Amino acid sequence: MHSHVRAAAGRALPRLLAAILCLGALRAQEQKPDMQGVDDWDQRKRPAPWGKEAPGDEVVDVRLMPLERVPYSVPSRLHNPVGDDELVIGCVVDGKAVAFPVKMLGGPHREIVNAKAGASLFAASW
Amino acid sequence: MYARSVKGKAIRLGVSGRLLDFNLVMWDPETDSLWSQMTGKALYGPAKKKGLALDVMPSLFVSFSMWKALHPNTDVLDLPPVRSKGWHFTTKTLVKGKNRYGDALGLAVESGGDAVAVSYEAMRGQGAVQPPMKHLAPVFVWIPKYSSAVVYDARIEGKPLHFAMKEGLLVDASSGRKFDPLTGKEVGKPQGAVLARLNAMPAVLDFWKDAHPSGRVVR
Repeated sequence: MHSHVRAAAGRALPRLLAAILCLGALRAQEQKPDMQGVDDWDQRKRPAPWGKEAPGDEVVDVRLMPLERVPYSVPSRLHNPVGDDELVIGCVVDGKAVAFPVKMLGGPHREIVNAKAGASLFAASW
Repeated sequence: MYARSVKGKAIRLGVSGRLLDFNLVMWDPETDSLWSQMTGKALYGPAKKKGLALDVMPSLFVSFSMWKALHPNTDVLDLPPVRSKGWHFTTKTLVKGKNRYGDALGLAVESGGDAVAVSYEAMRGQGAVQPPMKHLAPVFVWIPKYSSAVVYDARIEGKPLHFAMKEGLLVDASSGRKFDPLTGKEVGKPQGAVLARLNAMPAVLDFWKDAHPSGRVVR
């Protein structure tokens, strides 16, 4: 009797472990912020068409297509933690509060984030 | 923080690759125009020919702890940092009152062609700073608990109060009325008044002055 139980447990245990690992991997994938295209400089750059009469100084000879699809989380589930003393630009739009940690803006590929809350369109920049 | 619609049409803002007065110049693919990050005004292209400007969205530039205290259910941008760890993206920047290049920083308020900026150093030193303006009565307030600053309209029912910071509260000199510097709510009165928050833009004071020649700077 005991040998049957041991055999059954021996067969089930690897399957159980495999299932736990698969679920863990799926959960990690589910929680990982979607970074598709966010830092893809090459995909977003375009020639800068402005002539000498354009104001300011050319720092790089390309312009970047606007950044739109970015991940957001609530404070308790941030994949990229933000310290209490770190600076944010925060706004309330259509009743929804959104914070943009300064350390996540810049690059220059991430100097502007195009956002939407309700029907309102806005952009955070640094 | 700007609204990204112009005359009812949505635009998207991107990095132009240019700087004006050491400040970001934005562009939009919808009108192919250049925009000033500092002023929101169109600088070049079809939008400039129409004299357009982006509407400013009210925002706060504060510590994450202060933002969470005001808005516990906030959403937060969740991207890996692009900046290496350092004081220049923490409240130490505001306590020092300077950026990593040594330029003095402050908050600026504009209204009806009138503009004033107050340095973080002045706010931190005085607690509350009330520079005169034509159409507003701003009070720039340093909040030690969060090492951050906020600007309120000092008027209640049209009458300006004259504030000083005492024991962590904003206190009106003549009436003694007290207000919470975090929320603007009157203390000790459940149905009391609430100070309205004014929109203030963080600024490098020298560059802000270049872009606002008639504006005043309190250092």
